[in-house]
Amino acid sequence: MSGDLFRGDLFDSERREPWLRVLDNPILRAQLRAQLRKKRALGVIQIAGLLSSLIVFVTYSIAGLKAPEAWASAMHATSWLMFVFLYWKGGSYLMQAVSTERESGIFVFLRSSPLSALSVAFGYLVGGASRAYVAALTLALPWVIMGHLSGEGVGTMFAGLFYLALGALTFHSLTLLLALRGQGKLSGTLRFAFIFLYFISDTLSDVGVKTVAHLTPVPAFSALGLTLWGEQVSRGDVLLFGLSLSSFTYTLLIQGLSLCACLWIATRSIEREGQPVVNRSGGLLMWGVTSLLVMGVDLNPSALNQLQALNVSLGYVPGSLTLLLLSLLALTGLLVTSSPSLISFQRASAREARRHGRAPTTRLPWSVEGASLLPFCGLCVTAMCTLVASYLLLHGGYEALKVGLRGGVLSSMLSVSVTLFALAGVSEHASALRGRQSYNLTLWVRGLTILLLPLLLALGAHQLQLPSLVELCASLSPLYGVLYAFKALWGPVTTAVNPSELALFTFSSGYFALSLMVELAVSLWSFRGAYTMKLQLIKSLNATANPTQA
Amino acid sequence: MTSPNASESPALELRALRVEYDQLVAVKDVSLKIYPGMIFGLLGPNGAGKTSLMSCVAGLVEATYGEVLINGLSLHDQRAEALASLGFQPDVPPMAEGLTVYEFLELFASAYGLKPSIRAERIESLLALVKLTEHRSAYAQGLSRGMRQRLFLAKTMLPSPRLMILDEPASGLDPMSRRDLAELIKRLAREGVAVVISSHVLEELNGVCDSLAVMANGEVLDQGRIEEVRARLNPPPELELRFLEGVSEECERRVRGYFGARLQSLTALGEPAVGYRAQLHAEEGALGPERLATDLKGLITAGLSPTRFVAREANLQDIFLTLAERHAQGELHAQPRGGER
Repeated sequence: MSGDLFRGDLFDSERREPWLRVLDNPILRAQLRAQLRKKRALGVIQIAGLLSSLIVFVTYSIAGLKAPEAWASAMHATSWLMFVFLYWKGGSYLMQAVSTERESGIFVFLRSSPLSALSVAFGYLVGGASRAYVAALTLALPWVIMGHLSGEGVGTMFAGLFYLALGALTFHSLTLLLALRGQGKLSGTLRFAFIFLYFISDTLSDVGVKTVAHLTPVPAFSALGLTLWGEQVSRGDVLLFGLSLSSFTYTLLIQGLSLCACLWIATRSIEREGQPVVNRSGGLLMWGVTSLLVMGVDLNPSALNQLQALNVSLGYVPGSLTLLLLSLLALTGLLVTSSPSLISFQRASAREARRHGRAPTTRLPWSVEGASLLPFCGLCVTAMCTLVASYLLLHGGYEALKVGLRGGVLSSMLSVSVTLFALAGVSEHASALRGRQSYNLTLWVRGLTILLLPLLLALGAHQLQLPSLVELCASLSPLYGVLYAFKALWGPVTTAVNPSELALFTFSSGYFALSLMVELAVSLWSFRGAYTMKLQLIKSLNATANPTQA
Repeated sequence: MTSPNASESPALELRALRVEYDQLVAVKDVSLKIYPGMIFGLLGPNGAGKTSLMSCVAGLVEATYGEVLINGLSLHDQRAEALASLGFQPDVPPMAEGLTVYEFLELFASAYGLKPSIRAERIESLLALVKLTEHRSAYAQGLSRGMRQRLFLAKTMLPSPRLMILDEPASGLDPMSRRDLAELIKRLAREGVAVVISSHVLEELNGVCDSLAVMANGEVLDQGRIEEVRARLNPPPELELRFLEGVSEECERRVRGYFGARLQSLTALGEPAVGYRAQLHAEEGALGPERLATDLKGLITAGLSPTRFVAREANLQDIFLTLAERHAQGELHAQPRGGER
């Protein structure tokens, strides 16, 4: 082997790797090359071109040029085709591209290059589905022309294209996340779910669930006077805490935030395999922004009244089911995520300390990567309470409180959160005391708290003649919140609530306050125990790591 | 190979590096210093922690704690800058689907931030170096294993790294390519590149490496320049003997008779036996030129006709096996030496 081995002029002397490469993005270029090779892309482009030509030909043959309604139908059909290519095929292409690279090992290998993880994620996001974008582009010109012939302005059509592409990009960013985490099977389900969301987004907007509906381009299309399917519905502006935002702005906001969040999570997946999906600060930020948007747009008193009216008209079934599903989701999350992790927190703390050349901290770090769940839960509960309080203040308090209490929403939400906090504390404490053996113990604690106490409530309260006492114990379980919500939703609820009726809530309010106190006391006790144990562990780690200092 | 300069900073420095996977500790507090111009062999049985250590240095696996400094840059704090001066070749080179050989190299040329004006020229020159110019338009995935190794070697050299980490670089290569690879590695070292090579085929590393570290169970059993490690092991002086008389009881009796108490062991060499391996008791100058000449004359005087009389030094395989055996017997413990020269 012979040749020129080393050269000093390969790099610009002042060059630093940018955090995002857009044009000189090697992944994007490699993906574009691989995806748009003649033999791979030609077939899809030909099909798209043939279909659009066929639609134009048939419409022209039947109705001629001056038939706005016929061209509107043709545009409608072409919208469908674009949708299929962008969302269905695009997601599939992206999934395939990332899965192939993961299997080949090249994907992991990119971590050993100076290229930033964000550049890698961006490259795959845009390049991985490029074949679908090109196919959709083949349909775009006929679509604009059809729109023009049906009486729409060219500007409107291009705005529609923009929102269609933005929606596709948002959807693809979700697909990218699944692809990066090797969840191929889930991707198909996600595509179905997203398409279903498209179909019901009009309905969702009607009943006040606007934030989820704006994940699709349908509200923006409606505001433009276009439609992807169904009848054209005119949409008003969105009210965010009373601030009027157009559907365009809100779609941009929601989809932009979703895109950023997905890209951020994807970047984390690329940076390091196996690390948590989000870190504390990012997770809290996402949770806070989502809560603010949902509270500001979807859960304001008028929207809640709308929801309640719908719930009543449908026999309370939708509300109960939704609440049950949400609670089950929270319970599953609790079971899955609150495993004992104090030791891993110690390791993370020691690692951080070694990296920065200092002794392991004796303060409890709130934002150490991979640390225990306890501080996160604490922050979540605090943030949630602050948000709820802010929300109540912003919306006049009393009305919202009535709706929240009647629907069992507040009690469920807070009960689940506080119990999460308490159980995480117990887990941490047990983990610190007994190490790995504590896993079974904490599982038992969780099982008892979540399932057994409500069971006691159901089975034993009557026989024991002590319903209040049993109910008090049951307050430790988030299931109680669910049961209460069920009761509230299935029972006779009048839409108008008089202030005098608040007396009906006195018992439950007092009871709820008591349960909060019990749970917080348990949490603090566990927290204190875990903290003491942590200090001891840090001392021993310190002694192992720096024997001379020790 | 360049002789290391004491004032030079290490191309790679590991400080108490530890890599854990759940309950498994793959690398246990390893400290190493590898200087520019060194060809450093990383030896160890399967599961010793070699690949984990190299993957950690290449940024593919996160260290539990400890520090990796590449050309003085911390991999943790200055990741992009540190990785820009590192070339890493894994044991099984991954290939991107749907890209040609040229496009594959261009992908990495761009990823490493080579100036756009110089990329094409650089790629062509490296393709010529690894003798893949004719295959520049072939799909990378369709290449044979040996060709893939060569292509990845070209990729590794793209950014002119000052540190190269090669995990089993010769696997799948034909004998000519292996010889070329050895020459290339020596040339890289002459130009001041620090090269870390891991290989199971220890013969490949003989005559190529000037320093080594032997790993077992995630620990470094010994490290340093080969002659230093060899001296520390103090292996018994050994002679390889063959006689015109072949192998017989009479021949063995005469050999034993000549060496007498100096002989530690005498074993047959080869299967079927074609000669003897004589291990002598360690003593000053046991394999010195004067003593060797005396021994040769002595054997002839004893009535034997030597056709081969070779003083044998411990090679990498001997060093590795000796260290591994001593470690298994509990005689040897990991040493936290920092790769001092």
